[in-house]
Amino acid sequence: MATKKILSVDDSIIIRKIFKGIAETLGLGFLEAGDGQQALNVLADHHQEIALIILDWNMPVKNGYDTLQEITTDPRYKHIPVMMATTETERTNVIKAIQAGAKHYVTKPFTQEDVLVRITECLKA
Amino acid sequence: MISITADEFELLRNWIEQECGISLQANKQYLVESRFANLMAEHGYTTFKEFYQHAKNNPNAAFKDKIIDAITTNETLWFRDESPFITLQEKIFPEFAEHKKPCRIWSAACSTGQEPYSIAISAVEYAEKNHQKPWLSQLSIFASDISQSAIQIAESGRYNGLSISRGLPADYQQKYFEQDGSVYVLKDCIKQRVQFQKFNLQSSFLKLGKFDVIFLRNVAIYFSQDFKIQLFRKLAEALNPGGYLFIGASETLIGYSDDFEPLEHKRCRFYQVKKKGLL
Amino acid sequence: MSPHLDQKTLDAILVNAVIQATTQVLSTMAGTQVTCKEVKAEKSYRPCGDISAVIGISGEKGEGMFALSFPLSLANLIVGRLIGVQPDKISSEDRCDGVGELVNMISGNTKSVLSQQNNTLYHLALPTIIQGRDHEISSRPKNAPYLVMLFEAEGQQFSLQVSFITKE
Repeated sequence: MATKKILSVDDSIIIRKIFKGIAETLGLGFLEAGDGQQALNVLADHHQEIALIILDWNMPVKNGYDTLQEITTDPRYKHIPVMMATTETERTNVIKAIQAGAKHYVTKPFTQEDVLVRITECLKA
Repeated sequence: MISITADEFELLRNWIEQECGISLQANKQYLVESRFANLMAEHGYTTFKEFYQHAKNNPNAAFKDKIIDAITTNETLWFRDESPFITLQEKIFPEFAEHKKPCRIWSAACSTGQEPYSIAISAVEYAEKNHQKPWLSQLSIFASDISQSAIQIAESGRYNGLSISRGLPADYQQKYFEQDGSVYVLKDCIKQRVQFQKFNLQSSFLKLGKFDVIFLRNVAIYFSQDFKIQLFRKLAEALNPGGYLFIGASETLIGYSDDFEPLEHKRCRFYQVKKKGLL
Repeated sequence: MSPHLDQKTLDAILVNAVIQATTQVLSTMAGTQVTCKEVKAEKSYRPCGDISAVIGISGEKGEGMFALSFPLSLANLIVGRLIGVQPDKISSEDRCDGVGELVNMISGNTKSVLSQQNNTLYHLALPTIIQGRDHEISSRPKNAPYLVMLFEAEGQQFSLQVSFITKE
């Protein structure tokens, strides 16, 4: 079986590098996208390899929330757990994301250990 | 629009304090909301009221563990605050090694493993420098955390450059880790010295046996007053006579426990359990 | 939770929220301890450092911007710590992106404090990066005064400057 991959969707290269390091620590593969539209393109080609999607909220072209809705309503993707990792801590938005099907919600700033633990949890479920 | 009301937050806060021994600050409301997201999603709830009802009606241990795990932050550094590790090497290890006495250490909130592995590295360094290698077979390190996922990561002994760069001296990195691409893998000579197990500090400590040294640093901030009093009593009981306790540099036992005598080595404050019968 | 905060109260809330967010973001993400050395109200942006990340914030009840400015060497050091890389290995792209992400996190965390105080939602734009020694930044809205906060980390200074005014 091919290595399962994490798809990191964030307009920040630095944040994607942090998640890449985390994926490697967990022995997982890594795919990345700089905005929601790119993420959907990656998903179309690679959805069978992706074990977890990590989504930022505030991104150009297509934001994380719209992307989340497209993922969780698409029969091809809706089984893939989504973890939001964002500076968006507005209560109404956090709840909106849970209602739209986000499995985990991590707020930036985060400690690396904490994200490692939360990702491991997402992958177990 | 659904949101947590002040009343709902109070209800949930009281329940968590009573049942899980964890104190939530009122201003940490948004944090709680975001952290409970997964738990709520997992159980299919979209309001905090329903979630609270579920919590109240399901007082089982697994669910409580999940709540505690969700609220506490996993954060750990290599040799976090160096001074306890110096104290181990200069004061505590010699006491045991020089008398060929066994030493049992517990890292009681080990998160992803940096603390117990730092203890193990300190022990090996001590033994090498002081010709006490045979004594290492009498040393055992037990490490526990509420989070099964944290334990799983700790057991793997795999860390990336970012994690390694936080607190680990370069020569230890060279000596005790092997590089696998971008990942640093802890060598077996350290890894095998630590036994990990998921453990909730609310449970009874009896089945764990007795320890000579306990590390419980920087976690008491989450605990309620009542739970702290209970916890330090249980820790005192879990220590062998004369056993040592390390808490966080900014933490105190004052007001929570009379069972310990404060000691100091260089600039490290640590505690020794008082002898029974003198009280 | 007063819906009509006067500018002075709002400024005090902002300063506290920004200091807390800045300290927390840098210690959590980069393992770097920072202290706030000085807080000042100024008529305009105080040139400071070689690289700035600027982010706009807007909502029904107010608008403004955050500008985070670093000297080059400190920017490299902190961005390096974000990803576990030596400062001399940081590319210009990483540096710009990293400083942008830092202002994003600081303003994002400040935003939720503002929203709660003002009982309204704010929206953050995407960060832009300005480079060059002693560059100028004009405030938003035009001519709004700045709250200038000077911080120290690893013996070097950096600044976070906010201009924000409420709308009636």
